[in-house]
Amino acid sequence: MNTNVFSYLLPGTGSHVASWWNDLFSFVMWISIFFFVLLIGITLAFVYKYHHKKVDKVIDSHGNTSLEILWTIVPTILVLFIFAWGWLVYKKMHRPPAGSFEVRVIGQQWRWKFAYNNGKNTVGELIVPVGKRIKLLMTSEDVIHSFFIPDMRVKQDVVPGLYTALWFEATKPGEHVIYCSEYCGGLHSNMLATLKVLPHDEWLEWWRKQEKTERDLSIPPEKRGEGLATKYACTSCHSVDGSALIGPSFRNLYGRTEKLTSGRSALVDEDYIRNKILKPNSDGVVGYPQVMPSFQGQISEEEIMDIIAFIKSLKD
Amino acid sequence: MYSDTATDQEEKNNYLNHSKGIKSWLTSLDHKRIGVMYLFSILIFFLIGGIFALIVRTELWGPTKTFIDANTYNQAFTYHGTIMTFMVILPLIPSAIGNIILPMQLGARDVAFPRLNLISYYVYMSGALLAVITLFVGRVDTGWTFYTPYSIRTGGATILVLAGAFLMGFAAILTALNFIVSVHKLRAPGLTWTKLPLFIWCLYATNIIQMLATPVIALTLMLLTFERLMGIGIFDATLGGDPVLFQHFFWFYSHPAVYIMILPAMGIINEVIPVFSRKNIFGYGGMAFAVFGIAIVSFVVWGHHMFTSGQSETANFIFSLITMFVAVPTGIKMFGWIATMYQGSVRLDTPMLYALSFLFVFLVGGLTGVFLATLPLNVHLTDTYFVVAHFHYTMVGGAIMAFLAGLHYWYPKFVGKMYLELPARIGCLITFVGFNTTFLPQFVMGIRGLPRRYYDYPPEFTQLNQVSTVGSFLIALGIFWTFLFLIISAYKGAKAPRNPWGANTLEWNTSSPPYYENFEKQPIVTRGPYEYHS
Repeated sequence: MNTNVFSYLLPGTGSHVASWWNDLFSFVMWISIFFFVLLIGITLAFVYKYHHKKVDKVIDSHGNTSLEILWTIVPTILVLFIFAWGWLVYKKMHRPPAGSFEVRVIGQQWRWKFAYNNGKNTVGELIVPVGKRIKLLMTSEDVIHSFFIPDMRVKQDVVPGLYTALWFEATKPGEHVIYCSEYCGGLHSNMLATLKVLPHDEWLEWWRKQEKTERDLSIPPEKRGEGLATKYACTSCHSVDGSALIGPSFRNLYGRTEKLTSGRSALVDEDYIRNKILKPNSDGVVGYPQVMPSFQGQISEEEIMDIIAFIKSLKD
Repeated sequence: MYSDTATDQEEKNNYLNHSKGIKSWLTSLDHKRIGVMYLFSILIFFLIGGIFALIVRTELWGPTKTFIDANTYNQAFTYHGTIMTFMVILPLIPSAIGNIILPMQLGARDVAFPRLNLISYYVYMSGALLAVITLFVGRVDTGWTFYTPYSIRTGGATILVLAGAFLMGFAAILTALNFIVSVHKLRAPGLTWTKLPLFIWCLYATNIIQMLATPVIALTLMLLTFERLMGIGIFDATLGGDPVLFQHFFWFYSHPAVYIMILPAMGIINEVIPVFSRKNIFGYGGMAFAVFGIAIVSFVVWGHHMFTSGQSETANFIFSLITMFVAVPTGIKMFGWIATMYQGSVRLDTPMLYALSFLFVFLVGGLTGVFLATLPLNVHLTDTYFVVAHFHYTMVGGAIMAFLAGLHYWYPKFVGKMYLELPARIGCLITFVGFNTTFLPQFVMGIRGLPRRYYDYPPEFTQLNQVSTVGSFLIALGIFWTFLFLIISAYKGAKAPRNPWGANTLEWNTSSPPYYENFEKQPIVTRGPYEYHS
């Protein structure tokens, strides 16, 4: 993009907007450096020159009105200029241009789901073509999140009960990190996604590819289940190696006896797992927060069976 | 000269030895004793809040789990923020130092309502204890900002912390009322409004903000409590409420709150720089008006915390524009302090070293505020470490450095002993270096996109995080060192004269430590607070 003297500080520059952002940032940075060096320099000079051991007589004063007027007016003009430049960039950055390609975004503790106009869905990755203006229409299923793509310099809170939007246009193919940047509890810092910008042909190929609605019967059920555990983001809260994340680990889960908040104990069998997937918080496990989302209506009975097979396979 | 009223009699009957025993302290109506009680309580909470900071920074040594899990981390930063804002920085300078100094600077015997003063202390303590109890009963993990809907749904003892903050807010309102009435009614003969020390002007402006803004947070926290308890549906989207409304209510107070934190700090700097430059403050009138300019503007910029919240472009335009204007009176004060040293006679005793440190760190904090006021820059920088660094530079760098300046400046008056100068300067140096080491890397982390309140972070941020963590332990060392030697000084320090710094304000007119009723004879004021030559 443009090489910037402050590029050590900056993330990638993925769009024209990011480039305009860099220019404004550099200007404010230079002004800040100028005033910082000026004021600290003068302070140190005064401390040195007027150190009491060097001074015979103090020349007292009440102030200087012209100086006060000067250092009121000049900063006012400067900040107004910065404000105006900022407003011009902001308008371009904030208002999605007409004809933008729309993708819907749903934020949910703790993953990003993307829904495209042709019925495709992805979790954790946003796939877009290079050089096209992309508008994201966003809402949350639970608490406030915030969708942040540093390389594009765009960010917008994702709020339950209303739609918010942001837009960007990637100038080159590549991958960019997406963060959740509004604290949303538990795994806020794991609520990442990837922006994948594809060259137009590659993107078109992806766009046209049908989602595999058939189960791949050539692989064992636990392998299918492993893929589903990633697709439905089970593994963002349930580890496979025994460590406790937000929910109980899947390792050695099958066949265990869990203590529930109602006081009763339950054997983790196939029925238990299915119930937890569909009605997770009806009687939660003691010691874990009751925050699991329900997958009722989203997941088929066959997919549940594959996931159960996967969980069963995770034993020492 | 002020009529010299310090006598041997005053020293023999000072506020420390006037009556003995813990009951005489806990039921004292003496503003000096109440201020000391506030000081000790707040410093204990500062220690607790500091420990949480070290827990947070230690966990952030590595990109994944270092020693605690995500939930514990979220609680740690919540307690760090809640304790430091509500229990430490907000009351620190006004209720501790202000309580001790304000009546003396007015030439008065006490505040207007001494009993109300004591009640305020107990209201503050009950609020603080309620908040601290939640560490053992339920805990809180919402962040100190309590954003809905998360704060409605999350488990834990959120309501107790909200109640604690409510009570502490009330204590602030009562103290503010007390101070305002004192300034109007109890000024010594000759102490006209234009001869008031600027510390008093700054406290006065702070008190006005406290009285007007604090009720808003009280009501907000009450509404959140009702939402949690009864589902009234004001902030909960699933009940037809508006989660963003909470942010408006919260920030309507919490933005002026940061000026409650910084204006008293500026007040201290206004005292220290003229004394240690032996020169009149540059532009007394401008300095006083700037403080009121900041106070008034502080009420109409709250939306700059919400540029990406979903609020309208019109709101964003207005809040960004007005926020820019805060830079102007703040700049006037910075320039004025520097100009005060011009052609003066500068001494670099510890209070002045802290004041100079304040100028450095507050300048960084203020300039980074301009970045955040600029709309498109804010969109990228908000909710990242850039903001964390900005507010630590202004609040810790600003308020805490100024507090330490004031603590050392008035130490001889409070304690009757001089603090040990060389260890104090070393403490200042360690704290200053530690502070910049901790927070300077955080600006870089933020610009590069690292969001705040992150338990795990991408591995490329490891080095910057580790530098920051090392810095945080340096701050801890600096603070411990400083307070260790302040305690040692109480025993080993030289006896303090009435006015070791040659200052002009009335608190230096009584003995060190002060006579229990401040002055045996009513002082009379004949010249300005910073006139050392005439």
